[in-house]
Amino acid sequence: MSTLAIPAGPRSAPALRQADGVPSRPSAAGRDDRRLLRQLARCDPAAAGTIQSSYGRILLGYLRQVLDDGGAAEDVLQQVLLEAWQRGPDFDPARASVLTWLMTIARSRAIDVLRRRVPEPRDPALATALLDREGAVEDHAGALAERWQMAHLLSTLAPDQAGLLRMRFQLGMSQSEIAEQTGIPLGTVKTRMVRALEQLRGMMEEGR
Amino acid sequence: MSREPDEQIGDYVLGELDEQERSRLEQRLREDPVLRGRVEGLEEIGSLLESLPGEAWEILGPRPARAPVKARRAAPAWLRMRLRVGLVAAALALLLGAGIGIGVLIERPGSPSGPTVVLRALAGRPSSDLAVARMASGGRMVLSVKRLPPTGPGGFYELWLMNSVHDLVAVASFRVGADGQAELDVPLPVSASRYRYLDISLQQSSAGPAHSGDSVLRAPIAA
Repeated sequence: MSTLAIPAGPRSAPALRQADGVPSRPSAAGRDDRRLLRQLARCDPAAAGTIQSSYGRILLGYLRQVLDDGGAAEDVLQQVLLEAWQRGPDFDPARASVLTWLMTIARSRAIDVLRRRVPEPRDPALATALLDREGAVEDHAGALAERWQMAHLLSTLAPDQAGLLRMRFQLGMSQSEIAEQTGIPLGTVKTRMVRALEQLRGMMEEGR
Repeated sequence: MSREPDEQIGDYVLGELDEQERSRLEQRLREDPVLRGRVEGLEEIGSLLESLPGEAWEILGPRPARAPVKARRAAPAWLRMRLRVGLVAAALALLLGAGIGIGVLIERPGSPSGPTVVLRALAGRPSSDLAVARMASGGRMVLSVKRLPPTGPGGFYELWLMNSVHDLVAVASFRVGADGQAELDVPLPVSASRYRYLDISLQQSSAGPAHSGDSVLRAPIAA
């Protein structure tokens, strides 16, 4: 893994709140973001640690999937942390959420790596095909970024909401099955399901 | 409407609404652009959640155990049959009459279990166009499309596996009616892993079998 050249800041990832299966609440995420914004604005080296703490797992998960190479993903994550710290004072939270901004940086750095894997065309006839492939690389990286962004938003929902969505969309359970398994009345399951989807939609829109 | 609107909208988005209620709601969606926008937004979130990789769900913690239940699992929204049998028959007759090699339009698609690919509109196309493809057992692919413009006379959509405009293979042809939807369960002629994109193009039966160059939806196939 390459070394991140940020002086004095925390470098190793603290234990992530999400790692123990207890998703953070929106208020906690909001507090973390506000702290991060203050750190970014004053170019505080601690910003890298805050990013790592709040978004490291999502960024690394995304980079691992898009690059299909754990080592490269670790390296690119360090680049993302460095770039975010360097560009922090210019970040405008009115234009995008912290998550969207970080995922945009991660996506760009991932595309750089993926492009370097594409050999330069020696045969001019191959140029068109390679251009097609470049487009595919960007599409692929963008689609995966959107999914991992959604994963982070999921982690900020209340645990009962996220749990319902997980049962429905990961485990493929019907709402009746969820009601049966959890003991929650079917009508309540349905109402909470819609609210959770609406909340995710709202957060997604806010971040765009 | 006799039921709570939110419940009904949720059931619709999750594909758990019965046919009669679905028809009523779809009628309302056609008349109410605000409601339509809300439902489309929820469907977009649902599609994203459907396509989340397992690793992403682990952000929430270990995968929970699923207790055995007596009730039969409802099919996911995009798998549920949304075309009446009569429409299917009409579509088949049209396709066969036009001499098009087609995939199989079926009432109840098989059980998809593989990765999901969400195809999105290309630049210049309505952003609400959407298709979801999932690899199924036995080398099959289940495709569900929503909100595609209806195909006119002599027109049809073609699903392709594609590396580039010079390296591609046709998978299935289909038509879309006024509801903008179609469900297909098609055998793959080759392994999808050899290709980088899934692509849906608008074709004209008079123009031959080659890709028209008019792609409407596309997505990279994740490794």
